[in-house]
Amino acid sequence: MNSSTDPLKTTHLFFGPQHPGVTGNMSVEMWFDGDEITKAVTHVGYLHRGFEKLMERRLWIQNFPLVCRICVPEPDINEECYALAVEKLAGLQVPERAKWIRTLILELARFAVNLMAFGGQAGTLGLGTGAMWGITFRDFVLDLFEELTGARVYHMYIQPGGVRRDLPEGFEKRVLAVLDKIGERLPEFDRLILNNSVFRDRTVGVGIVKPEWVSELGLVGPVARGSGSLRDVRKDAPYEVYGELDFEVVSEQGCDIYSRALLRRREIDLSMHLIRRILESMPGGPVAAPLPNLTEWRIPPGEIYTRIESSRGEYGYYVVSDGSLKPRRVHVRGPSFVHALTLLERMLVGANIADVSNIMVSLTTCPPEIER
Amino acid sequence: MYCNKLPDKPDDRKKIWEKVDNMARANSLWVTAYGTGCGAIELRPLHTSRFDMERFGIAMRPTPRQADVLIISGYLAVKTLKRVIRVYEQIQDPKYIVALGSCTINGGMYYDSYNTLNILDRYLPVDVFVNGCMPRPEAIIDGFSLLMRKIKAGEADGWKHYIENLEYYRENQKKIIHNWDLPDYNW
Amino acid sequence: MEKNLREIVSFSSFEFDTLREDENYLHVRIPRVNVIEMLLSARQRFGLDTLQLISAVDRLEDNVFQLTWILEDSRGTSVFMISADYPRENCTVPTIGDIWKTAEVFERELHEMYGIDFPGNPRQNEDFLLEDWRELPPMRRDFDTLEYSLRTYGERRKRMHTDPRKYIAESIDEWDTPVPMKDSER
Repeated sequence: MNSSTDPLKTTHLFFGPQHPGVTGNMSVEMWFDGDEITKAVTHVGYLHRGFEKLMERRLWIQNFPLVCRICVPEPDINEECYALAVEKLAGLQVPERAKWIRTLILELARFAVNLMAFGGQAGTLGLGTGAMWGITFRDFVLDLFEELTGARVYHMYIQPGGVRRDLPEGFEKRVLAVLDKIGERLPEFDRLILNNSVFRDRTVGVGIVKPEWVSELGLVGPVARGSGSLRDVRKDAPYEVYGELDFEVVSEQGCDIYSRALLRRREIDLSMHLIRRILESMPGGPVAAPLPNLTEWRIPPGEIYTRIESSRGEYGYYVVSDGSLKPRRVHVRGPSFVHALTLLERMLVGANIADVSNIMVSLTTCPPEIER
Repeated sequence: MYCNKLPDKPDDRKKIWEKVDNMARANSLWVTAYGTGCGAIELRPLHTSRFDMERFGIAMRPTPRQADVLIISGYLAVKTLKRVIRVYEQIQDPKYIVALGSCTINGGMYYDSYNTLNILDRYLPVDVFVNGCMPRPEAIIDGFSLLMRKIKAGEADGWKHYIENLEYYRENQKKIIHNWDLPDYNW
Repeated sequence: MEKNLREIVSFSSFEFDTLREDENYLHVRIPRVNVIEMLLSARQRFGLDTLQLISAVDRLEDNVFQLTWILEDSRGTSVFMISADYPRENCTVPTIGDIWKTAEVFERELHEMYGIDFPGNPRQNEDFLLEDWRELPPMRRDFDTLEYSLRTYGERRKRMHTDPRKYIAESIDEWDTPVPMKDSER
């Protein structure tokens, strides 16, 4: 009898949903032979709210408060993706300054998430200090968001045809001050995490994502770029003003957890570089295109798939309009959909029980965007 | 392989002792680390030195067996409710529930969703609601300070209410969880 | 790359409608018998080897489900979308789980949300997002989510008035004024 089917030799264990090592509210069911995983099955659905059904019941503009709740750590990507779809379907022109402000918001959000994810990677290995620092640094960015939009987490700042309001006076200066404040501490942050021997021992060579899986499974974002791919929507299909900014796509060859953590660290530097460039070349002008009466706003029939780069990879919205007051169908394609289901189930086979939460955090799986 | 005995009803004779106990209970609230919804992201800044919830004696514990408080951080999907009931009943008495977000009070913006509860306190006894979507860390601290005041005044008795009215809660829970395969009480 | 996308469909022997064409973006509607052939040729001959999404739209008025497959190349520069209509009753769509492993998950979701059958998908009958669902598949247009929510979870608490002045005047007595902490309580 095969050892994986022998009930006397196999341990059957549920990991999550109530477990501090799980990213969010999801669970993994695992079968062990000794310390080694022989089979893993991901269970999701603990956060299912039926967003796609609710969006069919609401007006086009009423969906903006809904979409941002799909992704908790980085809500702006949802607003941006949905706004792009609505603008393309309705044929709205976005003023130049609004495009720059949107790019600034998206980069600030990516910056905040990567700080938290980079620290959180250390947190799963028991280096609580790293996790605390990441969250503290993120809080500085959230303060900027609070000044700009009035909310810490869910901003509802991007609207079709532009943004809700202009930047407050002196905002650029305060953004730069925050960047300087965090930038000063980053070398220490590196020493704390990347040079730590425990961190290196537990991450180098662990959680391998083979380069050939990238196209086979459709991996995106840091998971693909950590395995040598150069896939980045900001470069491949530029949206907003990414086409006018000069930057190199960061990529690592290591394929393991360490290289994905290193990649997030380099993404932090890239975001800081991009935010500085954006603030330098921000043009003046209006920030929002005039909108029709929103309660009577009908959008011409059509279908569109829009995609942008989130901190976890390519994020897509498939929006169908049938010419009525409400969208006919909105399908959200989050990057975690493949990462947390197909990829995680494949990666965990052969891994050790102690590395499970480490691997999950390195993929930054985000359950709400799987379940909506 | 579980105990099928239902918990004992609270004993009124111990009331004087409870006043003494409550003084101690209020100052060391340990929280189960279970992020049931999106409000959990604002619990993380509470650990950091900026908001620092440990100055109130509030700490995170990895398992329900060591904890006193369960935070319901937002809307509950039916699938999660089943797990939350299990976690809640495994917490040892006394236990308290803090519910975050407008969606636990009346469904919030998910009032017409087919998979989320509208009114949480039909299924679990909630001691403190913190409104907002999502509540700021300061609001959560405010909710905890209200909970502490309620405990000291002896008013935070949701857990007693749950045991006394277990049939009412079970009936409501079984109405929406169709395949009820949990024991009578999850010790 | 734009020229390439046109080439994929220009070889085809069947009728197709172009729904949207843009730079590095092509969306066509094709007959449902040609879907697998089209997906295979796009993957093998044109290097569109990444499956991004399988989606469905319930067109209740035409009594069809419109399924959409979204393909990208491995760099993510071009998007190629194929749509096909399937009748709504006992809707059966061939699985592509043997071509793309990730398709299994998308098909599991569609099976649960629309009740579309993908014969040959080994895991489609497992619970995915819902647990023990006994109603119509929820994403169908004829499923009324508000009615279900009221029936199952009860009516939500509402404000008694929509006029804020009246509301505040009536409820102001109920507000408990915050009690400052005494020193002994600290």
